[in-house]
Amino acid sequence: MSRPRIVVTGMGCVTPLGHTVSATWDALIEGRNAIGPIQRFDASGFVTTFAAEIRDFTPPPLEGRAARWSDAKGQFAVAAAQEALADAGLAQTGPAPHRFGVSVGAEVSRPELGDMALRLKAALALPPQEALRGVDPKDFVVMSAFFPATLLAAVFNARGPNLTTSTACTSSSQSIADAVRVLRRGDADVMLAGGTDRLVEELMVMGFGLLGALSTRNEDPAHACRPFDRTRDGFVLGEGAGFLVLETEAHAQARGARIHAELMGYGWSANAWRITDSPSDGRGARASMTAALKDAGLAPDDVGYINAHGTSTQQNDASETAGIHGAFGAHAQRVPVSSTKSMMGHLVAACGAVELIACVKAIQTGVLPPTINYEHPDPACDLDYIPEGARSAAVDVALTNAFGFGGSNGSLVVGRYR
Amino acid sequence: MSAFEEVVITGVGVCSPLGHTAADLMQALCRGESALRPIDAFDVRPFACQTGAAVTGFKAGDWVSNRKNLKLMSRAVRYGLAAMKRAWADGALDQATLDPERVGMFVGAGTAMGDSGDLLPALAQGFVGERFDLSTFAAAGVPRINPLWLLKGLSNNALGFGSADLDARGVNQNYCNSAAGGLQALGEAAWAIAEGLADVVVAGGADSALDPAHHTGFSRLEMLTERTGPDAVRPFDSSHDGFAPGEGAAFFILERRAHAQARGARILGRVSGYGASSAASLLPKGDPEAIAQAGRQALGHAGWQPADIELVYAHGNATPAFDAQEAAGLGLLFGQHRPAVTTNKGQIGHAVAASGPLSAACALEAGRLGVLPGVPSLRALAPECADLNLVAAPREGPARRSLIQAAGIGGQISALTLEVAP
Repeated sequence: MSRPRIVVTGMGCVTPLGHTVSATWDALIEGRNAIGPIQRFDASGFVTTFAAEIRDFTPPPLEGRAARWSDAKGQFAVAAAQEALADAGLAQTGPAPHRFGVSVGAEVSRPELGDMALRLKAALALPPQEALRGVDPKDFVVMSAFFPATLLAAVFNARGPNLTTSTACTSSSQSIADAVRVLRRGDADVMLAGGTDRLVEELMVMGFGLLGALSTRNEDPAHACRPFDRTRDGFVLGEGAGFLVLETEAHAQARGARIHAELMGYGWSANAWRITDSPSDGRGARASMTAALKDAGLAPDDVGYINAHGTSTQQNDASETAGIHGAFGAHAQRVPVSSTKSMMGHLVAACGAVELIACVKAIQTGVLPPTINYEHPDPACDLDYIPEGARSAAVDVALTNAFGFGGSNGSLVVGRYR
Repeated sequence: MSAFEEVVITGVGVCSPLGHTAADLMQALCRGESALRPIDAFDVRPFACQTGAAVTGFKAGDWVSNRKNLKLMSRAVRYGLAAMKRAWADGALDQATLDPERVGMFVGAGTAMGDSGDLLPALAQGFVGERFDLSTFAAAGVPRINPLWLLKGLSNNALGFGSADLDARGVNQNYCNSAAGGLQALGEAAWAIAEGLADVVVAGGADSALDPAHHTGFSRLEMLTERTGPDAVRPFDSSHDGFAPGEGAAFFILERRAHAQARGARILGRVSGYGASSAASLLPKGDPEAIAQAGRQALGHAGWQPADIELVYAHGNATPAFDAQEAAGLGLLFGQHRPAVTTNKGQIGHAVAASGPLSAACALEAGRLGVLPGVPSLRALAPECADLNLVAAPREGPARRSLIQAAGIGGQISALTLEVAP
């Protein structure tokens, strides 16, 4: 049975570097940094006081219930999805609703801490039944991980398969792969796939800080995220959304759509290890990259660029490097690898989607984004990380990785469409 | 030939309020037992809904290889690990004979609310008079919080711990899609086998609605029954007034047929089809067309006609609004054919993400026994549900080919078809 080719016809994103694909991409190839002291709330008492925030964001025009029910990550998702659908030429007339699905990587929303504390205090002063009546009925739905997928389906009238993946940092890599699966088996013609997350929140700064996972380079946030550098000391929280319009090649051709790239394959694996660590031999990373190449029908030598997960934690960067060696063999020393998290921080449930968009842009423009802040070589990280700044290179195939808490790994392979 | 021909079920593991095997659960259901009781998992006094269905006779320590991890595991995760391992044992799988990278795991998980246990007292430390001050909280409150606080709230803990315990290093997924997620995990896992991505996949769902956060949410959405007693929850009945919170887990061993045959595994049946759709609405109401669409997609992949279905395990959440929509959706899907319809939520409550897999376990067992399970709380069908062929009392009857429905409060619908081995 021949399998349909899956193509990318639209892309949209909201990131700390810019609120569109072009603004984000321009910043990435300029090597611009979006990491700085947290302005949204007083973080001075936390172990980490900086992050990559989205600032001056204009929420998308929504009406009625969709407007009232959208929290920040819902707004990021709708804005990115709108850009992607417009880019795909589907803004005015969307796909047939029952053939149009949604696949989102997202996690449960967290309440704003000060607001939560005040509400709890007020509730405790009331009789319990009265306090209960004060809870907004929509909160339970809106806070749930599936809500962005529900919101997108409602706003864009997508009545096809509706999936939400919650595998922490791997969520949107897997949600995009799920969209590929749905399209290949013919359960939809068009899928809106990506992820959204908002991490610059008190509870996340507190929780990841308590775990010791964050960089604490408070005196120099601009140089805090230094993937693969020997002096890296943790990741930097970011936020945002990325969405792609994926469709079967036949559907895209029939409607005369412009095709950005081909989504050639995906690979998934589990570390089956510990929920916060990855094994140092990088076996899970190796397995997901190898599976993605196999699914794409490609050899390691075919890959011209790797957008790494590259979180800037000691462990991830070393084990990812080991995994690239395992999957690519001798080609590992030749293939350029960079971490765009060095500039925009870690978008967690959204990172897979945004970094896939960076791969498509790299193929389209022939420019590879750099890893900034890379100064001190680490013997455990011995690849070409593009430290000197954006590099011109003709690339036909790129691979992007995402690895998460819980041990799920995802890799996506995207190629020039021909 | 259907892509699903090669996807067989070789093991089932259940953790439910009415039993810890599929056989025990089905026997209790057919005896008309109900697990609905006054809720004692938390202080339920402020709530109008006082009734729930809890898992009993369960020791989490029996199912966790590293006891230190227990404190990171919610009720749902503990049930999930138990059901995964029961399925693994039921399938007579042996790690020594498997390639771990060809063993996958797909989970439908609930809304992880995290552990507010030490967060709430810590928040009290953040007040300066009437004002909440973040730096005061950071200095005086945060040190009182367990450093691993965040990990207990990870939504993929059943997958993370389960894959480590079973050394399942292959394809994996974690769906957080309310009640639709469990069947999505099963359906997507079946596709993973059909696509050749794994030899074995452990797939199912785990969840618990028995906590104050879920109870507050479902109460405010006016979805819970306000009656008490074992027959409080009355799906499709004219006196239906909502569901009772439940909990539990059900996992299946899905396997490539050739792999199962080569190791001489007992084949219980197969997943024959799967469908998913969305009501494209923000409101947690049903949508007949979306319900029918998911069912049609599942039947299409199975290569079956509506008349091939002998038993429908309905979502049947006993809310007047959704019951009516579901009855209409099944009417659109089945037309003149009126298969036997049942649901277990009147007896085991609503286990949300686990509810679809629990129904699938029931459907498989019903088909094996040749029984059509009943809905003991039924008195008279609601007028909007009058066309349903709802089974009141259990009776003998063919149930080899079944359709299971699940619907999430975000408008997601999923449908799965099963065929029991001859």
